[in-house]
Amino acid sequence: MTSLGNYASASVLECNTLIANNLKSIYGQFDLSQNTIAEGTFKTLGNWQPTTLVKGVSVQAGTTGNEKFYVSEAGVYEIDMNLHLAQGTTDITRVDTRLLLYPYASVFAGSVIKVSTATDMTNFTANNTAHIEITDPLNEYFEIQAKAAFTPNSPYFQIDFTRVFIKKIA
Amino acid sequence: MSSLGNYASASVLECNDLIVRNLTNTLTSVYGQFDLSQNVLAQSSLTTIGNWKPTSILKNVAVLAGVQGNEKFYVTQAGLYEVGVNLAIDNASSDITRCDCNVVLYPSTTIVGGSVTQKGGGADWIKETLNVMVQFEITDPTTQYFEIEGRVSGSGTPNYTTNFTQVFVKKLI
Repeated sequence: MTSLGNYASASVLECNTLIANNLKSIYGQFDLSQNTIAEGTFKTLGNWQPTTLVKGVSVQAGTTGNEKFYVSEAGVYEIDMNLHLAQGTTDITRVDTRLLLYPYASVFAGSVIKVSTATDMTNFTANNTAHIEITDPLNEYFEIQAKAAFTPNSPYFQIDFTRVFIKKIA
Repeated sequence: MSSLGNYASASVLECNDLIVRNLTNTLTSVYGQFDLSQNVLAQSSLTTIGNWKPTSILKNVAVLAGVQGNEKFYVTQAGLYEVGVNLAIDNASSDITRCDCNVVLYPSTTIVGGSVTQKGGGADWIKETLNVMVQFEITDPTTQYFEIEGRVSGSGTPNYTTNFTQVFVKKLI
């Protein structure tokens, strides 16, 4: 009975550790590597770079830069996006952000703010959270898109507060 | 082998129970919601917001006194944390022209996240609610803590109001 007790105890601990680690293992924070110009039509944001807080998530190159976010396991994910747009002294009149899941190009979440030109909006930080299910992590990935309306100069997504945080929640 | 099967089955059940308790404890054991104890006058330069008070939704997070009031948020465990800040600004009938909110990690004084909105003086903009969600790692909970900074520019005397201003801290991993 002693040996059986030892085996049972060891298996409990091993099982416990394995499952706990498995459920907690996917997350990632990504910052912009450089200020990124915003455009008047929807454009995928590239230039994402991983921080030290990354496990089981990667960003891969696409048309506009490092833009395709892949995860290593199927599951339900929460994605928190913080996009800081700055324009110096000229007006931003509208900002749109959204998250698209590929290969379907499905829009899963987003935000819109629009003001009249008289409001002289020169800084805006869009924050929103999306939830998506990844069933095929080899082929499914997501991208962040944005557009901005402005006059006369082009605003930038700033490196200071623009980031994406991904975590597996189930 | 029958008895072994029974023992194995018992160990599986025990394992299952342990896992559930461990996961529940691990994933939920550090969290805290804090409200403002009173309306707080906003400054035009970045200033730490004090006057935070714990709510009943609290486990292993504390707010300690600093220069402005109860402002230093400490957690009891190292790990990856998510902090959500909702900052409600009310300027009565006067215009706000810019508002900022930063989450600052100490003692390194690192801005780990924030939000900025800025409009011109003719904007008729008198209320704003900034929402900031940040994630960061605490490796030494005895010396590391974070504070919430804010600033509001404009005419009048804007306040952070008690109604929708709150901080929620939770340990992710």
